[in-house]
Amino acid sequence: MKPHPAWSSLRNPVKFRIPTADNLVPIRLDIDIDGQRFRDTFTWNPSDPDSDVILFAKRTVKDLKLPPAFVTQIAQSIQSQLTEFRSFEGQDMYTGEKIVPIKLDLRVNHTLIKDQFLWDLNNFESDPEEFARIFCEDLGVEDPEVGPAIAFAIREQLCEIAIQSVASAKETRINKKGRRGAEHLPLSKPGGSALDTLKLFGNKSSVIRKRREWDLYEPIVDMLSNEEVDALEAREA
Amino acid sequence: MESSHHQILKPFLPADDHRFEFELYTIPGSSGWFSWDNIHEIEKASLKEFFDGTSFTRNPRVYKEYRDFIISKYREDPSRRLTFSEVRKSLVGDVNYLLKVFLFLEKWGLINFGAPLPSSSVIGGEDGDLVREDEEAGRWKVKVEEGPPHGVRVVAIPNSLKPVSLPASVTSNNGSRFADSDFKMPPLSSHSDVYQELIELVCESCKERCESGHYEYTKDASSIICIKCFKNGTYGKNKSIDDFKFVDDNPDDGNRVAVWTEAETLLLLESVLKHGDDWDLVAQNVQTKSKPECISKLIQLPFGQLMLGSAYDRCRYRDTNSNINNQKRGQVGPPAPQETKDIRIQHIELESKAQSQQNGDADSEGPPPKRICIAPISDSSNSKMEQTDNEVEQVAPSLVVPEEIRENESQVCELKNHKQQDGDLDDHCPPKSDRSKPVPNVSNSLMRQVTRISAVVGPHVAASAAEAAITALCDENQIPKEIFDREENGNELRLSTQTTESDRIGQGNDSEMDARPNESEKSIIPLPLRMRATTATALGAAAAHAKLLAIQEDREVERLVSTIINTQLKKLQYKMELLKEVEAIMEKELSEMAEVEESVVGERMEVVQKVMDAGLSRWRDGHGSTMVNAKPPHPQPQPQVEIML
Repeated sequence: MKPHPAWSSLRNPVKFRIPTADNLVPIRLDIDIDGQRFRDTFTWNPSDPDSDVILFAKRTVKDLKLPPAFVTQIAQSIQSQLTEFRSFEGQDMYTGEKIVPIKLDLRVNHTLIKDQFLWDLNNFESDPEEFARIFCEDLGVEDPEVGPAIAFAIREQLCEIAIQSVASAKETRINKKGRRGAEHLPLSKPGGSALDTLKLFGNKSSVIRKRREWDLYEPIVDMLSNEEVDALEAREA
Repeated sequence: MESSHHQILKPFLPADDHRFEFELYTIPGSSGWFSWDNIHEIEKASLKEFFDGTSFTRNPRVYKEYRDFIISKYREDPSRRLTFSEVRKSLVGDVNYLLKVFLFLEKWGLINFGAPLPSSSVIGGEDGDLVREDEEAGRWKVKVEEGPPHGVRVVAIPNSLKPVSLPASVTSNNGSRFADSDFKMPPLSSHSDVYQELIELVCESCKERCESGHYEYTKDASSIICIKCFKNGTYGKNKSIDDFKFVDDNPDDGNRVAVWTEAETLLLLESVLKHGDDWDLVAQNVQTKSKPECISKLIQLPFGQLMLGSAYDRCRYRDTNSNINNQKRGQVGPPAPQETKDIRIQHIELESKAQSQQNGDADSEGPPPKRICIAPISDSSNSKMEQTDNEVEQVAPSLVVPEEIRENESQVCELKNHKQQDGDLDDHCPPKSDRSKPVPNVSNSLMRQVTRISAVVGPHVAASAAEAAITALCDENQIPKEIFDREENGNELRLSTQTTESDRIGQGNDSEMDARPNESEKSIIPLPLRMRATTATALGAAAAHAKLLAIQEDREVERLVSTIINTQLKKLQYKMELLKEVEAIMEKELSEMAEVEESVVGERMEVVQKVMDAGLSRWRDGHGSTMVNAKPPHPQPQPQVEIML
């Protein structure tokens, strides 16, 4: 049996990565050339060779019949996001007892999704894709694009929090140097949104949520009409 | 809203009674480990995260709360499928771990067991997936339906290609048996044993499998040769062409199976009753049919299994007898010459007839010498009863030709009647319960089998059963009606013998009737009809017996239920008395309380009065109150009565 990654992360900082089972980088593309806009989201395995990026870009442009100018733009965008991600690799990430709320508020075609739930940053076996699949199954979402979009949204937020955790790890080191023996600062401050686990999971409180909070954490799926979609797109543009 | 909330919280209350509330929920048997109060090892092993202490946010308490909540949430409405998204909004914690718990509970059937499968369980509603799910459900159904029939299915027509179509398990069993063919299995214990012989239809001369048909040596069913060898004239030594009979193995040819005559069927039944599973002997007895034919015919008969079972039992019971019989036969030699056997049988029959006649007037105390010579069982006791039994056994093998059955039966009847008449005989008989018990060694012939079944039930039941059977037969056909109308007497007699058998004490006025004229009358009834009548009688009697048992059972249940109700009523009464007692105590305490209150007020008044008298009216309240409190506080009895109902 492999040692528990969660256990080690409590004592020792772990190397930076997305806190999920698969260390995949969320990539978001939003490219506008001569009034033609290309937007897409997907995940990329950072251990793949970089030569794949350009191949991917070429293939995408060919499949979607985009102007050739997009190839370099797409490749550049992916490459820069990968580079940013890799810049954190190898650095310590201190997650501690950190459970963060993930908020979903996205629209995929005609489906509007609003949801909020908690995510344990120490759970390196979590699977956003599986979560998204069950989400769609439970709520009867039929649009096949919704599931991947939810998974991507989760990954994006996790990535952001992971990057923040690296920063907080740095801060912790500095603090330790400055004041010997002092405990590290509460992580909720740099992390911004981490919950007070002591309060939530202490002996006194029940893990059953209070009834009035149920609505807050309830997933909401709305189907929009064509007019609503048009209106929203007009506003976004 | 509020009430449902209350219900959700119930399982977390320390009270025990919630378990009764949830008792009716169904969970799969494999999840029997589940308990509201404990966390089982399975849970600990499957959800290690909550038990390895890696995180403050995951501990057994949290897990238990998750678990209990999810289960009780599902049980709010077990008919609908609980979804993860529905649950997670109410639980604090990492959704991934929540999902893990949820899937664990679902896997063990603690939730969503019996709930309908999600109809829209597919992402994006891809039709292909839906179809797949339907297919899966369909396949599951098919799985349930198939099963035992594979191994049990028995084909009536002998088929040399059988081993190919046999299920794998059976063939593997047989394969090991084929390996050492020298080893002879004990008489039939399963169908595969029966068919082992069938499978091996190997020509004696060319040692090849007989695919389409073969010739059977009529004097010994075990030797067969194929068509080719038959034509070539290689029969084997000491065998002539006339001794061979063609047996067609072609499975398409079903005509042969249909040509069983009623007489043959009866003969088969007799033989099976007599020889049990020794099919070689049975086939030998039936003569006109081969061993496989006998087996398949018996299996085809609606009650074939029943006969086999009882015959098998009987074989075990009369081990000694059959051994002796077999030995005798063994001396004669395997291809038993029928003539000599018949002679022997007739000889015995004559003897027994003479003896039975002698029995009528002879003294029942001392067995006549003749009987000793025909009942050669050395270890039999001196009881006359057993000797007559043995004698019957000896006579039984003679039941080769149907005509003999009647004679035999009438002899038996006669014997019994004689016994009845001999008053002193009863003293030597074993207790009658032995007689009326369905011990298999009582009878050999089908008729006596019927008698035996009927003997279990009362005489009235048997009589009415026989009547009903005959009526049914008459409804079926007009001809038997006439016969039976004529033969009413005969039937009555048969019933009366049953009666005498079940209760042999006295009241045998019917059995006084002479059996002889009956016999001649009986012989008029066609044999198949009689057979059907007797079978129907037996079945009817058994049904009636079952009905009686059911009624008895019903009464018993009724009685028990009334006992329960009575007990409950008593319990309630006791409780009421207890309540009254408690009420009295309460009242007493109430009055005590009132007294105490009065005295306290009085004391306080006194104190205040004293203070006033002492002229300390300007004391601050604090002092005054300390003074009052300084007095030893009166113990105030708290009325705490708990009533456990």
